[in-house]
Amino acid sequence: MSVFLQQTVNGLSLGSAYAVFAVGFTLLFGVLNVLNLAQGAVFMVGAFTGLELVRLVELPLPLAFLVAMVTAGAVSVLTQVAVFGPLERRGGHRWMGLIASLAVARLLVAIAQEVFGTQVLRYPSEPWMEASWTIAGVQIQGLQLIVLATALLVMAALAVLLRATQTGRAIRTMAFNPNVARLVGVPVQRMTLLTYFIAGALAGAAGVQLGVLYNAVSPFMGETILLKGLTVLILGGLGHVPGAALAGLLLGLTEVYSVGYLSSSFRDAVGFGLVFIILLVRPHGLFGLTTRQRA
Amino acid sequence: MSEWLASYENVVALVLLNGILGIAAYLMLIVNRFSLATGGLMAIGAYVSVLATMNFGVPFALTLVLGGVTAAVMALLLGAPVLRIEGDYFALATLAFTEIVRIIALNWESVTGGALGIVGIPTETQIWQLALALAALTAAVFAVHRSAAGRVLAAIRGDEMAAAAIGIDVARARLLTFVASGAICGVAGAFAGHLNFFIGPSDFGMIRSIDAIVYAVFGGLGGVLGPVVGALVYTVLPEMLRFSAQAREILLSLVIILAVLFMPRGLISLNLPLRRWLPRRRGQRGKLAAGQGVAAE
Amino acid sequence: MTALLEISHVAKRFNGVVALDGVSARVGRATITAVIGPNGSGKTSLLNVVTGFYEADRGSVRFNGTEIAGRPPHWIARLGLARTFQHIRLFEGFSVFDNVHVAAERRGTSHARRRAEQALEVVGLAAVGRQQADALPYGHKRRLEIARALATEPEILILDEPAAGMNATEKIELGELLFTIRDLGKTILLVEHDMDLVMGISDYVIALNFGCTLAAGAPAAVRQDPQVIEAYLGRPEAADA
Repeated sequence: MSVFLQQTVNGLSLGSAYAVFAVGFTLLFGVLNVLNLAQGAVFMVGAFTGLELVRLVELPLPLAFLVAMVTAGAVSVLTQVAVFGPLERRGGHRWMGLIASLAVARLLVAIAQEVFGTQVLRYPSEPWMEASWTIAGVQIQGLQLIVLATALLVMAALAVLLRATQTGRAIRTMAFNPNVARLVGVPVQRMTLLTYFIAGALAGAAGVQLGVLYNAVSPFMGETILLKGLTVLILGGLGHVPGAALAGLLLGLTEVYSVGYLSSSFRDAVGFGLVFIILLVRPHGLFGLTTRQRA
Repeated sequence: MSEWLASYENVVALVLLNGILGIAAYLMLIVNRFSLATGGLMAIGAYVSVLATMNFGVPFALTLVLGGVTAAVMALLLGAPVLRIEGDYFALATLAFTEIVRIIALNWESVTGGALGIVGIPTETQIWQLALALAALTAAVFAVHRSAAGRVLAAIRGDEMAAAAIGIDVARARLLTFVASGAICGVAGAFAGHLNFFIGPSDFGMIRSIDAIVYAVFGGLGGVLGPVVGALVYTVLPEMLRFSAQAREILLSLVIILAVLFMPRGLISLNLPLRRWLPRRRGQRGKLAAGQGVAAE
Repeated sequence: MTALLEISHVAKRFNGVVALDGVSARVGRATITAVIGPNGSGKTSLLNVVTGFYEADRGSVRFNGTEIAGRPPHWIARLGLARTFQHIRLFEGFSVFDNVHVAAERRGTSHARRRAEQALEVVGLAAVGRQQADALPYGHKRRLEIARALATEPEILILDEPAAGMNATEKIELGELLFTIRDLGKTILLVEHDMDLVMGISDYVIALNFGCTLAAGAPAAVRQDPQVIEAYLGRPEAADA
């Protein structure tokens, strides 16, 4: 039983970081109908920014976390302004957008390799990270608590923004229908940039969280999280933000359980297995319409 | 000539192999499906053929057939349920497939050698075989484009609902295309498996699937030569950028971004002399309506 | 009158919104039957159920005695029901001829070119076969869609607002074309907004409102039906998009 509880704690902290990343990824898909495969690279940028601020500038981690979010958000906006925006204005096909986002990811990874090398770097250890408490046979690390808390904080802030503000209403209107949004006077261009910023900032936050949690930062760390993001995107129902948050937690838990009860090597297979089953059972996703209804 | 070939043999082999994969991806793109199964199907072809060679001493030619058939059957099993899925979901389902194949290859150590892969494979694949395969495939796809079956595919690309309304079984046509694409991936995998002494799970991951699509889109979806030209440029370009090994990745990604921005119809849309041998995009023959560089969804 | 197409108690709803609420109708062989009704009355939904693009929740559609409800669109098309769309759907990048040719090939590749040319001749587009379909004027695109449907050699031709966007002359020509097609022995079922056209060409008119049959019969009778008048006065044509 205590093994189960232990794994639940581990799974929740891991899953909450997945959820933060996936919520941003899902937001882009839901609001702008963009499948941005550069999101994993933006996550990596966030992880490196946080790391360098802590290591070189010796900023306290919470501050570094915020700056990393802003930086990752800014990089995300930059990709929109420089690549995705112009491509959309030229009427590029959706597939072109996918290719462009892959190229952007590759570019960011290449730059990171150039600047930081290919070695795995680590966040310097701090006393509170090492701290741990044992409650009823379950060991809870300070680190895990912090990751879980920041994740909840970030997602709560997003929920407030989306649900309780004018800006949030505007973004949700765009998700509903961009033409309607334009008609009712939503500043579509500005909201697009804001959505990219939020998605980037969430990716950056997850980057620092997982960088600290795994104690490993490398230029290639974005690839794995991108696959997780895609998994969660489907599990949560394409474009459904609360669904993504839940599915992120669920994925973290299933991964940890499968390592605990099956074998560590099948951790990644579990997520994809779930995706596969969901797609087969609900071939149009959880909220999809069929072509035959679109005539 | 032979000296030149020797020093660039690997690049030439890669160009040809990638051309074949590019066509496999192209076939799915022209029926409006973004398939990320290429890497997984290729892995199946590679492992099946290599295991046949290593464990049972099957002749090389037969292992090619074996790889192609196994991957085609896999495509049929995968495609029958998954092809019903709409656009983006289909891409994600095929992505999941490729990842699952990779994870199995990574963990089924007794058969696949796990992360260490299989070593000491006899290198049977010859440049001329790859060239012949690519030429035959190009000719075959070209012939299909000009046939009634090709017009069916072009109609699906042109408007799925209108295609259904004139009696085209869109789902069946797409499944057959996926099976054909799977067979091509399988044969390519068998070639790739016997190209070097070694295969491992990381040789056939997502990157393979994505690169194959890049060849096709980058080259242009206007005709079968698009993916071939795309594979040529996209494979040779990194070699040409060797002078600055460090900045190679950066330059390469910038080139792709610029290409996507300024050549939305792919390299084929450049006004090259080559173009005279390509199918007309518009006008009298217009039959190859796949000629519309960018398809409507 | 033997009914070629027999629609019985067809119902269809979308997320709780009723599109069709038990519609029944009969379409006689070699006649022109028009479905009229205000916007949102279920006309296009009815065509989509008949041609397999929507699956009915209940009810039956029989064609020549064969049950076709719930069958996929391509199966229904092969049986001999061809349709056009409210928003023109031509094959992108195809020439005028190729649009029709690929349809003619559904009935076998032998003589497909000749059959395609014949279909183009019926609608009067034989001379522009080599042009790109995208470049045709609007009225011609509508005719091309009809030619493409004809090339599949249907027994019944189903047209979704064929006169939409046409000017007065084009509408008259369309009416003549539909007569020609009927006189070739084909049955025509159409949804149309233009009352003058409908009353001028139809043998039989079915009026729908809120997914129910309001009236059915000869054009003159339907036009004078008080319920039909009310439905239309309540929602003037100007409100239709």
